[in-house]
Amino acid sequence: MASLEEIKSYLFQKVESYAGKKQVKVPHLTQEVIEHFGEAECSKKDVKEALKELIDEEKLVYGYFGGTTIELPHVEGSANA
Amino acid sequence: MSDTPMIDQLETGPWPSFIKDIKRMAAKNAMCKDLLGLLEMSYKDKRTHWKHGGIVGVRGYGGGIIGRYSDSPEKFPNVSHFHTVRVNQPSAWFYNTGALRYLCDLWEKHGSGLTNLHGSTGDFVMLGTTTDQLEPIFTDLSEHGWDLGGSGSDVRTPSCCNGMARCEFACYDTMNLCYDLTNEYQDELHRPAFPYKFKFKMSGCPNDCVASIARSDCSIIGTWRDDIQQDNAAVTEYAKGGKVDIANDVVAKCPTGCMSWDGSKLSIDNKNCNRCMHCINVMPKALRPGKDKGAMILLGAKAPIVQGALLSSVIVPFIKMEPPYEEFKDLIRRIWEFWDEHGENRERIGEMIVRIGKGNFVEEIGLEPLPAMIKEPRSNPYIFYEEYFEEE
Ligand code: HEM
Ligand code: HEM
Ligand code: SF4
Ligand code: SF4
Repeated sequence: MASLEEIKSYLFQKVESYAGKKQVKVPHLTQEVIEHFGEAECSKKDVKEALKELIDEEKLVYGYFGGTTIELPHVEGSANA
Repeated sequence: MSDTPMIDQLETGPWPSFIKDIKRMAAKNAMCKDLLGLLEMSYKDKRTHWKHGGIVGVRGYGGGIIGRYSDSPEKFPNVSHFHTVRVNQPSAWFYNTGALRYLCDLWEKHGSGLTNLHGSTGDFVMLGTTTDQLEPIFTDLSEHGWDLGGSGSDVRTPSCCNGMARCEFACYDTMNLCYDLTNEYQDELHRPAFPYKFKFKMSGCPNDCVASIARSDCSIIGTWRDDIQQDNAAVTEYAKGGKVDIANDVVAKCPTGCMSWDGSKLSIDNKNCNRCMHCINVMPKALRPGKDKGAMILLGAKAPIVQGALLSSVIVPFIKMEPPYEEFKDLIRRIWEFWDEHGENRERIGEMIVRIGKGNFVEEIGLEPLPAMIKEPRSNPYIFYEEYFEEE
């Protein structure tokens, strides 16, 4: 079994690799993480838990772009006030 | 001359005007003043000056806040941010005046003071605040027992009709189910992880006062499976009173033609009644829903966004709806698992069912196919009923 820390680390890496290139959503990310570790090693529930922790630690944040996206924390370009 | 000649015209009709309301708030709130300016500019330019999307939410939540930024912060600095906050409404929208005062005061302190009751999701909608105010608003709401509603790809704030609180037609306790589901699905509500949004709406009977059949991915509509309760003395009263013309107003309008009236006796062929509520609505003192009550579950309504509008259609014609609602929750779990696996990005459950076929969907979630699941019964011209043969 992949450890929670391993899953978190890979999940974070994935989001980082998409930053500024692609708006990535939870079902897509989940699939990618499971494919990486293999279904025997990592379940949907494990990815859910990993994402929950990354969000609660504020390493990742939710965004919106035609549905909910996962992003690195940043200041909106348009929030220049 | 006024700074806002175009939107001023929206005050001239005999109807209530949101421009009048915003102007009243603008006297004491700078956001509302700039909002008028930005709106006027949109009318002049014939396009919106709001930008959609971006980071939303408060710590740990992915729903409940809808981010809005304007594209003209130099001209209208007070509305450079104008985020919407969705507050989870109480079941069936029962508030006391203290609760309403609290919410309005909170919003005058932290936002524009403008509200919208209620959004089509059901939430108490607070319009217009800045990013730095979001956490203080959330903390204050939480301390007073309120929570944010849904937005994005999550379970949206469940909503229901007032059901048993004040309606004799209610076939199950809509308010209790609404409260129960809201608590059961906290994770799904606050941490969006679906292919797209998912709405529950609950009506206590087929009158469907919350229009669940048109507005929710999962519509839960009260119904009964025995016979309509009939009080013949009261039927006679209606007939004698002259206010109801039973032959024309009731029997002739029964959509399944399952009623008859011989001038003194009303008969209902309950096997053929489709529980449309018409006769009961016209003669509530004489007719009422049966005693064996529950709900039907329908799936798939949506407004046109990516694809066209759909109404929900039946997947469970009758289910008892009593706490802890385990059979229902088990069904929902199977439905979500399947949608999660097979739903495409931004595909609502109704669209997925159309794409893969309802027969396949029903099989995949482990239900037996039933005639009640047919979306448009009696409309297929290639089915010949025996009665037609008899006429020949
Ligand atoms: C600008 C003034 C008014 C507005 C905008 C207004 C608006 C409305 C609306 C939207 C409804 C609900 C209709 C529905 O459920 O379909 C309603 C119902 C009703 N209004 Fe008004 N109303 C106004 C003035 C009044 C006044 C002055 C009275 C009485 C003196 C009144 C008595 C009623 C009654 C009795 C109903 C319930 C009717 C029913 O249940 O069938 N309204 N009104
Ligand atoms: C102590 C005084 C009153 C009490 C306890 C009372 C109570 C109620 C209740 C419980 C309802 C049903 C609410 C609902 O269906 O949502 C109602 C409806 C209504 N009341 Fe009163 N009421 C009072 C005074 C008045 C007065 C003074 C008027 C008019 C001058 C009035 C006009 C109406 C109307 C028009 C409705 C129907 C509204 C609708 O169709 O939705 N009521 N009232
Ligand atoms: S949907 Fe039925 S039970 Fe609910 S308020 Fe309307 S009539 Fe009453
Ligand atoms: S509920 Fe509707 S279908 Fe049933 S008997 Fe009454 S009018 Fe006819």
